[in-house]
Amino acid sequence: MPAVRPILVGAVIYDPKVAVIWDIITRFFASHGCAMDCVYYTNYELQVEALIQRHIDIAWNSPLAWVDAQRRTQGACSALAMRDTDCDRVTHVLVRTDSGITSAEQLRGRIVATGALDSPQAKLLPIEHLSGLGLDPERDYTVRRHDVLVGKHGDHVGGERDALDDLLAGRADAACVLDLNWALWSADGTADPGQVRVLTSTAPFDHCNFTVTPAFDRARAAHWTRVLLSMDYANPEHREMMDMEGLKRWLPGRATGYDALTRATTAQHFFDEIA
Amino acid sequence: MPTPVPAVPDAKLRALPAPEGHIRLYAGDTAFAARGRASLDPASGHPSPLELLLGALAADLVAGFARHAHRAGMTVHDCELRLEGRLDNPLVALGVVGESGTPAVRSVAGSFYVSGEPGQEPLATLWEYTLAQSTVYATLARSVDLEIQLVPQA
Repeated sequence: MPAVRPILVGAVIYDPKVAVIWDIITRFFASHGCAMDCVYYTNYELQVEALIQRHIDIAWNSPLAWVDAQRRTQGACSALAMRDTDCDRVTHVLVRTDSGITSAEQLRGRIVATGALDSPQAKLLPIEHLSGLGLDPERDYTVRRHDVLVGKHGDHVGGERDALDDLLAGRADAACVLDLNWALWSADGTADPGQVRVLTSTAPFDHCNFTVTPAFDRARAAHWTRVLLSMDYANPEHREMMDMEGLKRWLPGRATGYDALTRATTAQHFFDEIA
Repeated sequence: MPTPVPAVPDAKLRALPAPEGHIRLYAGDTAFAARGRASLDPASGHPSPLELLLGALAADLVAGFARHAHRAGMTVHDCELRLEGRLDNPLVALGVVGESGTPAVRSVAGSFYVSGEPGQEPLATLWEYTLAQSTVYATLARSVDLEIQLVPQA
């Protein structure tokens, strides 16, 4: 039995298959002399609470969970690491090419389909982006929201996919979709890229990160981060794990990619409404 | 009057932790390994607790059917049992905080494919007898939805 408690890493999962990835990552850490165990949560609200209450040491946080953790700790959290694919994402506002819509201004009076209430990429950020272009969601256009698995912050792309389906079926005039998902769905036949085009895109933002509070021992945090960053995509033993998690390289965490989301949660009264 | 619990157990088993979260099991003069917890990793090399449960049911039924067929002087050319188990909520079994429901097995479904000589005692009669004599089937039937179809093959 271990003499020291393993580092406890929290993760939100919606499908038992996701636990397989974490089992593999846990074994990777064990093989590198860093004892780690995973604690799973059904939603990010519970996970952030567990992080603040020190039930876990590290949280694999969605961008919204990061903003929530910062809000609740007065900005005291740190981001240890993130995937290369978490950096500089954008969300596209898509329209049908035959719609005649060529500018965001033409969305006035129209229907914009979004992902879930708490999806940073498919609801909060694109609404914030359109607000910056002078379009108020309560005054200038109708939001058609798809609240699939609320609490999981859009990790389950079902709501985003429903938004795209709305656009393709003519139930909406625009749909908000993360760039990575649009790249996937326009390549796999879900949507014909000849029939749908990008009207406007948000500024780049960052997605998930491994979050810690100041209560977590710095030396243990540094050791854990070193092991994580030692994963090498060129190593076949690491590659499967990295493919499953959707990255080619782990990067040191940064806290600079969440300003737009922080503004969005304030402007859309997100945490007030959740409370 | 309920039957008194026998002083001598009908089966015994020992389980010890092994490296990498596996479990080493000893039954009689046999040792075998299992996956710990509810890991779903198909590459772990050992059966999960749920697979062991299905395996116990399958072993009981296939061996029972073969034994009863032999006693009846019946020729069985080939047989195969396929089973699928479903949990009430697998996320609870994984320990996901905040999930509702139970980690219990909700249902076991499957098919028993068997081929024999035409004109023999009906396979269905033997199958019913096999189910009635199976310890594991009778035990699971108390709490799990069991639906295992007999599928005679030409």
